[in-house]
Amino acid sequence: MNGLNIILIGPSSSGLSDLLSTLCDANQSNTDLPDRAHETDSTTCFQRSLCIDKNNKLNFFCINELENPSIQMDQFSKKILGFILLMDNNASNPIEDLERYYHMIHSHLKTSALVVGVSNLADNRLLKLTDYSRCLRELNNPAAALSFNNHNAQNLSTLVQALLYSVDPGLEC
Amino acid sequence: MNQWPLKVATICLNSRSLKAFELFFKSYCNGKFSFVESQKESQLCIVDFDHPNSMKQFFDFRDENNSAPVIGLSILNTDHSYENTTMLRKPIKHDDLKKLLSSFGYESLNAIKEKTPDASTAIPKNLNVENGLTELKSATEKITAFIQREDEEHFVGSSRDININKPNEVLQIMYQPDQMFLGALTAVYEISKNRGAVTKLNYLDYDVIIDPKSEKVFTAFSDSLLRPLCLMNSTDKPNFTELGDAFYDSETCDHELPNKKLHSHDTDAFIWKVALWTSRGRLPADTNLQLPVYLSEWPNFSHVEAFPHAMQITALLIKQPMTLHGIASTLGIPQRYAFAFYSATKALSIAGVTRRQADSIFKPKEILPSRYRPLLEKTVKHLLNTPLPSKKALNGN
Repeated sequence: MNGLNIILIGPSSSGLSDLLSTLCDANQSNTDLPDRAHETDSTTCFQRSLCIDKNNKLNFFCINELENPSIQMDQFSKKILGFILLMDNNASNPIEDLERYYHMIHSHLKTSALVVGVSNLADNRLLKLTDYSRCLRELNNPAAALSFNNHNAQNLSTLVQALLYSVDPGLEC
Repeated sequence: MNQWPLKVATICLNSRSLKAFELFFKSYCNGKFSFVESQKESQLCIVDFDHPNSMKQFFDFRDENNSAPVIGLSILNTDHSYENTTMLRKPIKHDDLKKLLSSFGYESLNAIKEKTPDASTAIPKNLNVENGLTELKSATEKITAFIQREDEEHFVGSSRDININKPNEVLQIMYQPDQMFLGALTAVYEISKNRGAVTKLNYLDYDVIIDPKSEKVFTAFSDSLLRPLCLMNSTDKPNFTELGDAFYDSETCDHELPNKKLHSHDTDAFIWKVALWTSRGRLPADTNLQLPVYLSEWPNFSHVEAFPHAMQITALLIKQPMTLHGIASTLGIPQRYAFAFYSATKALSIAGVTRRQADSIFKPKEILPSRYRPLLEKTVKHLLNTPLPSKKALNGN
């Protein structure tokens, strides 16, 4: 089965495993069931797969950067479709975190897309989504920065859709 | 005793309202009312008194037909006291209309239901239940598709593409936000943001409270009233009052919006929705269609209500400024989607017409399709067509 990869990186993967399972389970359409929750390598916290059809699947690799401070992106196959960075607006310096993650994956962004999900926006009114967008523009990447609630699978679905359209705005649906 | 179906004439009802009434008569009145062209022969007349020509046409109707009862509709003014005329406030409650129509002597839906045989004995023996279920499912899907189309039309309208070189066609798709609720809302929101103070906007006697700190908007009315409000014109200047943080004292809150249940909205989602309902696929009057437009950041699609092609347009426009008709032709979509999108993002102050010469000189770069396009399209369809429960719902909490 052919696969495209989406990599999710964030300081905390709390709740993400359940959320991805929901996204993947909800979209299973009587095709092969994916491999579930297995360790793929030393830096991946977990992997979930979404079967698109009999021959294709979308793999989500989740990485908790705090547990794996030296992530080697090269170990993933070359079919990285994009990255979803999950930022916690309540962290001590989320914009600095964003810049650090960005530089970590920078070399891959020539061929893949980026989307940023920001959680806990209501807890820290000093930083707004527009601040994340501005930071991304300064990094010369007008990526989507969308709010993200790690109890809401629809939010995750929205982030994935934004990523897919960033790869190809001409997608018809 | 009336002869059925009762002949109904209408005054100043547009085709969408007519359809809504038709659906209502079919669903709730067992088809006992049907529309007729001839006002003289009609046995009932429905008038939209919010339409500018309604009064003249109403009196013309009375000259021809003095006996038929009239149901008058209005969003604000329900105090008319014309003979044989009953007023209903818009948005109309189904129950109110049912009660009113019952007074014309037809059997109400409830009475019809009471006569319905018991379900266990009602199915004829020769009926193929499976086929029936399939038909029911198909009918449900059709209704869902119809509702989706209706919702979509509220957001993007149904206008055809225009020739941007023909001024009369361009004028037809322009609206004046300054003379509508949208203009008042965005102006007062800016003031409230600059002052950092909770502010109350009063528009046509409806109150909206804007809190820039929590980025919330409070209304005492629902979307069914908000939508028609978005389409009403008013030349009055926005009337607003600064409330300050005292608004959060329960006493002040009760004083400002007494005995009313407050609806809370995220500000960006509220402005986005109001802009779409105002625009309906049209453009703010100062938009120069010859110039490219820019988008400075993505709308927060986790909050705002997405409509078809909104994410596509975003992903395209965020890469480089483009003309609105250029967006539509690049994506192969009707122009009204690009116009509606621009209206909403401009209202959120994240889009505008670019004035830089460089943006107009060069043709936008061509967007090359991804080699994974078929797979990506399948994935998007999967995601769009699958309702996702929240974690809370999954846990059953």
